Amino acid sequence: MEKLKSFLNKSLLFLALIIGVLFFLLPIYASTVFALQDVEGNYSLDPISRAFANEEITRSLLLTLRISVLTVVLTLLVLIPTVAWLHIVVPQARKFVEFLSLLPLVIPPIVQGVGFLYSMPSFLKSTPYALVFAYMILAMPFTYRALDAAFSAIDTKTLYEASLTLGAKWRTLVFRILIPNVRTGIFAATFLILALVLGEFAYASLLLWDTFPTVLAVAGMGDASAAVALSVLSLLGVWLALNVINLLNKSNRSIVNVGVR
Amino acid sequence: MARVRFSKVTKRYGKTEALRELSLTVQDGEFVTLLGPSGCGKTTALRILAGLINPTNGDVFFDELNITSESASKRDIGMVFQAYSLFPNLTARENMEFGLQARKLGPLEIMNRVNQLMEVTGLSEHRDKYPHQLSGGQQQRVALVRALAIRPRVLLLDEPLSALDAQVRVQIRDEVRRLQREFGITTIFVTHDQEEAMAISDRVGVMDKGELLQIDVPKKLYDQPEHPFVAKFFGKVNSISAQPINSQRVRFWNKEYQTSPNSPRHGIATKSWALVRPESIVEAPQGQGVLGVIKEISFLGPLTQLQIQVGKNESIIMTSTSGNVSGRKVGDNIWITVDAEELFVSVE
Amino acid sequence: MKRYVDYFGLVPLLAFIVAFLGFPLLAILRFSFQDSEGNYTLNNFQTITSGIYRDAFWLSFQLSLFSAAISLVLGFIFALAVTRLQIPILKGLISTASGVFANTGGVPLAFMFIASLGTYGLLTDWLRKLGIDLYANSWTLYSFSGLLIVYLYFQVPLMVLVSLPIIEGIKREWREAALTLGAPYGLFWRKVIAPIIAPQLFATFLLLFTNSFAAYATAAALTSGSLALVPVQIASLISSNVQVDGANTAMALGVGMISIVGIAMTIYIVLERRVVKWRN
Repeated sequence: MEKLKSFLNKSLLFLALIIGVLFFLLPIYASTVFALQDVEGNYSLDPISRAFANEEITRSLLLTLRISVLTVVLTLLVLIPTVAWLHIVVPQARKFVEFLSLLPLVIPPIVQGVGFLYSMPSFLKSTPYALVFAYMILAMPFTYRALDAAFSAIDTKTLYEASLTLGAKWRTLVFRILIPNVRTGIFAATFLILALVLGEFAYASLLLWDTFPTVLAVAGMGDASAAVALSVLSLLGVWLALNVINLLNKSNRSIVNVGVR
Repeated sequence: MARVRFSKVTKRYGKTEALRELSLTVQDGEFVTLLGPSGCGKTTALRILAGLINPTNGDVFFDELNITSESASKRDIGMVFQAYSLFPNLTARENMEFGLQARKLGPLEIMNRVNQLMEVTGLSEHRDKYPHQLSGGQQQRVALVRALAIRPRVLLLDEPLSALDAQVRVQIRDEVRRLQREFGITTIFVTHDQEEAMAISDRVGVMDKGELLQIDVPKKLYDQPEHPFVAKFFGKVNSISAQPINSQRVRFWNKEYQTSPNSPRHGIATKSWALVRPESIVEAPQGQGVLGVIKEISFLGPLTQLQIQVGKNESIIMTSTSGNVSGRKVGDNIWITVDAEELFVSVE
Repeated sequence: MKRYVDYFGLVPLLAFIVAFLGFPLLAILRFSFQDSEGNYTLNNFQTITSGIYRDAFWLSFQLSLFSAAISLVLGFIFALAVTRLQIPILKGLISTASGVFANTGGVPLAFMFIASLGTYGLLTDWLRKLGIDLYANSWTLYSFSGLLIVYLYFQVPLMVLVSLPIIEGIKREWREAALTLGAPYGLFWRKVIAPIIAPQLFATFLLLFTNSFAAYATAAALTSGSLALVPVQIASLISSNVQVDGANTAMALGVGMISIVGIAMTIYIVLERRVVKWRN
């Protein structure tokens, strides 16, 4: 009786799992076939090479990648020292800063974009790289949490005091002690920014910059096969990158589950 | 209350045997401890008894009743876990009442039982706190009361003290023993801490790699181990390389010793080890026994422990009443021998 | 004196937040109470609470409500299956995939659905061969229910991501303790599991709601503005420039969105304080 119940339970869960996996895979499969099949039903990689031969697309992809890298660098440069400071010097301010970091969640990106458009000086509106600042804010609810969790897990203050009593220099402390210990947090923040920037549309389209998502949206109107192929490729690309980061991370803690709560 | 019997219980996970043919009887009202390193099968045995996992082979009995396929919720078992087992959304009192409500007892009965147990464990003033407001020791007390409240046939304790501070650990350990005696409840306790096992149990079963090696009263396990692992795990022991003379005698440190009858028979083994307790090592008159050099002296109050190097690389631990060795210094030479009629000898 | 110095380390981040979140927010607030000439007025709020803009809020609200409710259920069951079956690597692959769908989704998702369920989509084609013509009854992918399906593809993954830690937070010891105490599964669920996860699920519901409410990319790329959700309206007001006080109306719409999300968050905080006494 017990065994039957647990067997039924397992089967139901298994069914749910299969339906769930199909749910994810079906549109990917359909899109792949749609993109690579021509009118006669033959498969070819033409749409992909067409997409990459399109200079506008490659240029936008490069721009988006550069923006992501800059966003990662800037985020880490600002957040790592701040979070470390919060843990070592003013832990009583952590709650307040966490609250601030969550604010961007309350303001939809499109609204943030409009505000940016109407409040920033024109030199910040004349370069796509100003998006870096916007994206840093957009990603902050997640990046801050990821880093804060990482610093919480290592008892930063004790590590700091231990390294001081051992006579370590600041540089040693930061690069040999803190950064390696919060690696998971850094990986998580990096991934979140990559995933977010490669898909961000609201800001870029309002400010009329040709990033990958905006160019893709326009391309869809012209060459459907190429646009669909690019869509699948971009999701798969981010997924692969993410799995690589996950492997590099080697820690038991997942880099994806920063959770929003 | 009940007598508990394991009959040839085996648990396999794939090819690994977590538990091999465990047979064991725990008498009504007895306190038995299963002792061993992690992965030795002690927790597996406990969880099989609780009904949380099913054995691959064998049967479990309460008195004469075979309960192997009975569901955990019908076994009338009180179980205390390592930690985190209190329901975080219920107060201490609600936690303690949980099992009684599951049994659909009347509110008055529930109140009486819980109140009485809270009284004897000193939990009354904490009754309305949530688990996160209680200290680790208080949490485990609540867990213990919760388990006892249902008046279980058997009490199972799965390393309930391992997450506590040393001081609290001793306190709760004594309390567990007191309550167990008071209620006369059959209890099985699982731990990896031999001192804890010795202090609390009627009998201790030492386990390793899924096997129960020996079960006995603590003193007998200490004095007459039947297995080298038992000798080593249960208290400190020196293993001294010894030369076998015949199946009943070995020779080392210029003296012959009788092999105890419970030692494994070594026959023609070329190498064997005599297992000697630190307190059986004594100072010998000059020129007798073996010469060693004192490497370290640790004063432990009434006793002093010496670490002595014998030969090139044999390190011997000796404990002695502090008065006897008070003049000794690190670096001194010392003649030592073994003061015992029989020795437990293991072979390579 | 030292107290002030202690806070110096926070200056860069705070400056950043003020500059790139505070200023834009202030600008929106200010412009929403002005006409295009810069005179203060409440007209914009009158505009957005009537006609097409009120309809836009209602549409956005419905879409968010449905997509949040459906993905709450589907995502939780899926996450339950992933954690309980304990198939190695699977959890890692699925959580990374969910991360990608939930964060990058947007435009690529829209195109993938045009390829799958659009008029000439592959799944549409299959279904047609099975005798089900999706487009027979004037249904299109570019309708409310079509958009709802696409939204599930970033909402369900988000739910999976949030559910995994919730499910893993249910300690095995609780279930085992309840079992040995003789509690039937129903009692354990009613008295322990439900009170613990209900507030978390409610919070997640609000998160899913706001996530869908704020989403713009998918709708923009899929419907090219034909389905008038609030974000779509904001974008078209800003970019088209045909309407009098258009930008100011957009700002007012923005303030409206922020208020709705803010109200949702406040409800959550108040309820949590009331309900969850047992957490520190």
